[in-house]
Amino acid sequence: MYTSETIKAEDIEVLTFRINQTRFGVDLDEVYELIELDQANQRECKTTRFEEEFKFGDLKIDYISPKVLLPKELVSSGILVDQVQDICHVSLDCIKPLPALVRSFCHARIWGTTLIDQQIVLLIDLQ
Amino acid sequence: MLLSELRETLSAGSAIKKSTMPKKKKSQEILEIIETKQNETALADVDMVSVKLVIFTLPNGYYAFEGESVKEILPAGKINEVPGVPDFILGVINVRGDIESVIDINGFLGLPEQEKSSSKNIIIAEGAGVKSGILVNSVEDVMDFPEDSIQPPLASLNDKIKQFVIGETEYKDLSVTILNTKKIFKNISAN
Repeated sequence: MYTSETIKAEDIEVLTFRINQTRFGVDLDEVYELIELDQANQRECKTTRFEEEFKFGDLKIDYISPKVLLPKELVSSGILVDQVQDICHVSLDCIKPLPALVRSFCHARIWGTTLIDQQIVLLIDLQ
Repeated sequence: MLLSELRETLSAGSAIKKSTMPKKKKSQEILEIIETKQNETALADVDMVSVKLVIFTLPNGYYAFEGESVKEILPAGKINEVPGVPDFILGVINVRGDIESVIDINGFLGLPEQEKSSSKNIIIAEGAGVKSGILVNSVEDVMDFPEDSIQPPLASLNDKIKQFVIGETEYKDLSVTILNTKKIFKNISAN
């Protein structure tokens, strides 16, 4: 849950965005840069759509305001995300594992959940 | 001498015989009657073992879960989709700060498809070490049924459903299929 307290060691900063109706979050420590799609093309970055990277099945997403997330570990390839919203401080106490039934099926890089403004955010690893 | 005994003594033909019999006190007789009644009630209680059922509807009829497996009944709200899960896992919901999964029992059992908007309730159930929400059309009732009113599953049920059915009972003169949440959750977890 979002806290307005000063950042503590047990907090992480989470960059949130929305794909379709679902809100996702990534630890800012994993992000090298957030750039426009045009910039990514100019830099000749290999860009993968989020729904392909995270295996949404056949679902194709119509992006409203696409941006490219460049992971720290691999700056030459980015992930296309949509509707980047906010950077929030999330206490580790407020991060919960995925429910067991979901965890056994979904992508291993979706590793947890938290609540920001009472909305569920699925936490992902970029790599 | 008690008044009743006096009356009996005065009654014709019975005086000699009755006076030779040890007479029970009325209070003793009353206590014996009460004790007999209590024993009958206790026996009846033993016979009337009941099972609490949470009855709900799906598009093709009435179904139920055993009450002991049901933790909570919620109005259906926004379900957050999770990518990569099977179609019968609808996503996750926020239950007072806890994140719970929600399954589409209709889809899982291979029953006729329904409009998601027609679903009014989510039943939070627990079994086989798993806790999850289950989307249903509407919860109709929570009530006790005599155990002997539960019959074996109908032979006409298809095999996909039958493995998850405890038995059948009747509610408002209609058949209710009782589902086993433990087996459902165990089956999903094992896949």
